[in-house]
Amino acid sequence: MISPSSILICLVMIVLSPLLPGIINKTKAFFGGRQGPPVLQLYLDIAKLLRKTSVYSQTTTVVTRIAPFVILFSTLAAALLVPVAFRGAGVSFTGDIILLAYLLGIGRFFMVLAALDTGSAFEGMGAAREVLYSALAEPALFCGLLVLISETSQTSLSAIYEKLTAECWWQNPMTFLLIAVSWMIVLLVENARIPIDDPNTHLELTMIHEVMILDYSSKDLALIEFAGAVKLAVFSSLLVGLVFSGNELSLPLQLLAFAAAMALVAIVVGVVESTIARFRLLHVPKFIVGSGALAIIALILKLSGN
Amino acid sequence: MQQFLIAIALITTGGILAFITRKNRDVSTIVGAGSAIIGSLIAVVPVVRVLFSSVELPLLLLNLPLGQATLRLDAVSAFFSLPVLLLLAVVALFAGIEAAHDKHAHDGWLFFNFLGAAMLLLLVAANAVLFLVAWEMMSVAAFFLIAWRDEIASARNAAWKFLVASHIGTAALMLLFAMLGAHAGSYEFAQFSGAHFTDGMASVAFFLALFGFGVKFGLLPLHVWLPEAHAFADAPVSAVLSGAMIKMGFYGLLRILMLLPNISASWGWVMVAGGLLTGIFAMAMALAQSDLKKVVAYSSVENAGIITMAIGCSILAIVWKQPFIAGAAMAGALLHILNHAVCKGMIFLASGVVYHTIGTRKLEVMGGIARSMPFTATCFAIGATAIAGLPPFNSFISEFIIFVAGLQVATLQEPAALLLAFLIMSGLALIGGLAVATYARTFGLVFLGAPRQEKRHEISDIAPSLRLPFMILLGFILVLTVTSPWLVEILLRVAATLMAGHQGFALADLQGELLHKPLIIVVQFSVALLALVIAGWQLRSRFFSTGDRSDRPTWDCGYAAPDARMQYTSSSFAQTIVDIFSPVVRPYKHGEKVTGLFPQHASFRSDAPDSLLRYLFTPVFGLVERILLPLRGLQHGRLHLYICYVAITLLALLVWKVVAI
Repeated sequence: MISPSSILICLVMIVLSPLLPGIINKTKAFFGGRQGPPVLQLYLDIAKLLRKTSVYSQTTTVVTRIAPFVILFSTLAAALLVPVAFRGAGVSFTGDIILLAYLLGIGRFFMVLAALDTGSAFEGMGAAREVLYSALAEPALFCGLLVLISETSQTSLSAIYEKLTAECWWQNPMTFLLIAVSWMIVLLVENARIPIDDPNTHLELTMIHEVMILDYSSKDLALIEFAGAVKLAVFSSLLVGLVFSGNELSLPLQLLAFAAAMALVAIVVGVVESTIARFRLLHVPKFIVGSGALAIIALILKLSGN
Repeated sequence: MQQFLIAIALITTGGILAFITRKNRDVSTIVGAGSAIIGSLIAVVPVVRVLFSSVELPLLLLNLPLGQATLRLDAVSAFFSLPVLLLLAVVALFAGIEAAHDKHAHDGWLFFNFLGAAMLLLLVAANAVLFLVAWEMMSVAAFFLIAWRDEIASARNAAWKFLVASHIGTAALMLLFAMLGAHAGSYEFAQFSGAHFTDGMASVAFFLALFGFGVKFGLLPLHVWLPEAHAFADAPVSAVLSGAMIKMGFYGLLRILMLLPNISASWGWVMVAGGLLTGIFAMAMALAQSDLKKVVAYSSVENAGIITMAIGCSILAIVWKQPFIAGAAMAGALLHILNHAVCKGMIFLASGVVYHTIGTRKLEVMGGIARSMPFTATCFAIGATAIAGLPPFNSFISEFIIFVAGLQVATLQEPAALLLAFLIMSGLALIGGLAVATYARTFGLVFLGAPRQEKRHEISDIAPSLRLPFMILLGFILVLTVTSPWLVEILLRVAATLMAGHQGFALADLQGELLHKPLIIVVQFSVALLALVIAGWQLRSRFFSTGDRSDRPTWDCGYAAPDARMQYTSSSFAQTIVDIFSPVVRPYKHGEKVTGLFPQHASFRSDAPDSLLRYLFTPVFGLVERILLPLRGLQHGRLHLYICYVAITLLALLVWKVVAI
């Protein structure tokens, strides 16, 4: 099912998505007692990068050149599949979340390949971590989804979210809370945020996402940074749709509420980043498996509720 | 039907003629490869007719010296012929062209053609005896192909393991058919389905079949022969073994399931759990391997796990009377069988090219060969993306269909259904994530980065004529992706044939349109993604690349003299994941600890031979050997004592006869 109005909203969300990292950084600055970079910083960075020319390593092949486009377009395609502004997704059909997850998967696959393409020890390290963490995070995402499908008897994201009202939350508050927490962890993992990964660290040895794109510069880096912001927006709106319900609002109110909810997710991420230190890398897999365990508990609660 | 038999006869004769003319390599190659290719093209005509028109070709009775043989080509046989015919033709083409270039190339045409012919005969056999004969022919031909490089001890060892495993499997199948035959009073498959088996008997039959056929398709823990056989066989042979022969195991299992109408939920659960464990175990093992072809072989085991899971889901859905889920899961399994054959054929051929070019299969010493072998690298990359189940390629489509079945299972308001949906969805997601890790590691560390081996100047890409087989497989990957929404109907027709013994599972009940619509959107997304990526990349490199430079070393965080040996290796890449799975993978680690501020020498080595082989089969077979060892005393080579045995036997028989009277 294709909804033109949702596609339009989705495009606006894509264009505005670089605001989310800006809000996160402002929140962190607030906790740190600093003024922090402007909310529009990522736009400025992208604009600057687009004007620069690239330096490629001698070791690299065509994989490095093609990967930014795979990452960008797969993320944009995934954004079309996520429900926005309580009105359903731009494109919705049975199994759309599977396509969404696997589109992000192909982007990740190419980012890992591009990291290995440089032959740098640091980038290989980041790549090895990335594939492990995402392999562990995906079952958690799908496990939470199962509970929602079972609750609503629907098989497309938009239809699930349409049926998911405040009443469902009142009936099984624990179940939904567990899924929300589990998906929040998935969001942090997939977007390389603290406590899994620190986008601002200065030590390459401890990075995951940032170290994989060390060798990128100029326009390629701009595309990857932009795709990262869109990916954050995709996961945020997944979470917003789960936690908030605004089916019956009028269109302007829906848009306002959606924007506010997205900003709220960014603020929560900022608060998490300001109050928790990054985990030791050895503990990260346990943390991610923990998010899967939360989703499994939600599933068990759902089973016993029947 | 006659056409199909003519093709089998042609392929067999071609193999024999190639053997007779083996002194003259050129003639032998043309006869062997030519007959396999032409035979496949002839056989494809009736196969396509059966698949598209849903007519069942009439039974054919052959009067053979030892009795009558029944042959039949129905939708199921026709579908399973597709991977066999495709790989037979493409691999024969590849091996034929390779033999013309390289006098060390594989030239075992006799056994290669026998293997192909035996698989085709197996698929049309409608009689248990003929089926078993074809099954044995297939196994023996495969044994000789694996043992082709018998000057290498590990190839001999791998071939023996295959032979032992496959005969243990065949023993179970003989037991199975003897049981079914004794009950039905005939060895015709048609008679089996008419006979009324009790539930207990049906269960025994199913588990015998799962064991016997599971040996072939690599169900845990029966997969142990598979990695070594695929690693030590020549690449064209591995491509056929993995792409086609493994699938015969699934064919046999589905045939038996068709004959047993009283299926039970426990079969489905066993298959789902078995498939899940197989998939996860195989991926963990694949990540711990340091041999390129063993990694690819373990990936075949993983895909067999996914297919087993989907078939198990379909069985449960039949028990629960859910036609759509049963059809979707079965269609996903069938499509995955076809997709895996195409992708794995390509990956094994590409791995063979890599092995021949750089002379090693060790992942640790490879690297950076994409720059000198761009064509092979592209093929491997597309094959790897596809087989890891990522869009926009074909294996994603089949996994998507299985996922849709899983989503539908979750809508049933039953605790058991939710458990099944959990196993399928989370299991597939985990297996898929590990497959991405495996193939990122394999492609990334073989083809990308800086070369780790010494003599890199000699490397060049494959000859242009050898590219044709790759182009054909590439074409099939794209065609299978784009046509999948319409293929669903054919797949469901095969599924409906498989479920013909159950009420309410006819083609119309399987609701193909519910799969058709989502698939159209998935295909649209896939095509759009492919087009946009290529367009964006071309635009960028044509119009927005002024001032770009690519003459600098990799930015290694300020380190001025980066070295190829500083790169992450395949074992370091997989280390964290392998550590998590170390209780089941049990990797060996050898190395000295680095001590002191200025360590002089350090080395580290790790390997992971199959843990089930080491901890389950070696002890069990050792025990059997110890028990049977005393019997060796009977076999001493002294003729007079052998005559004494005969005399004792005769005496015993005489006494028995007298007592009986």
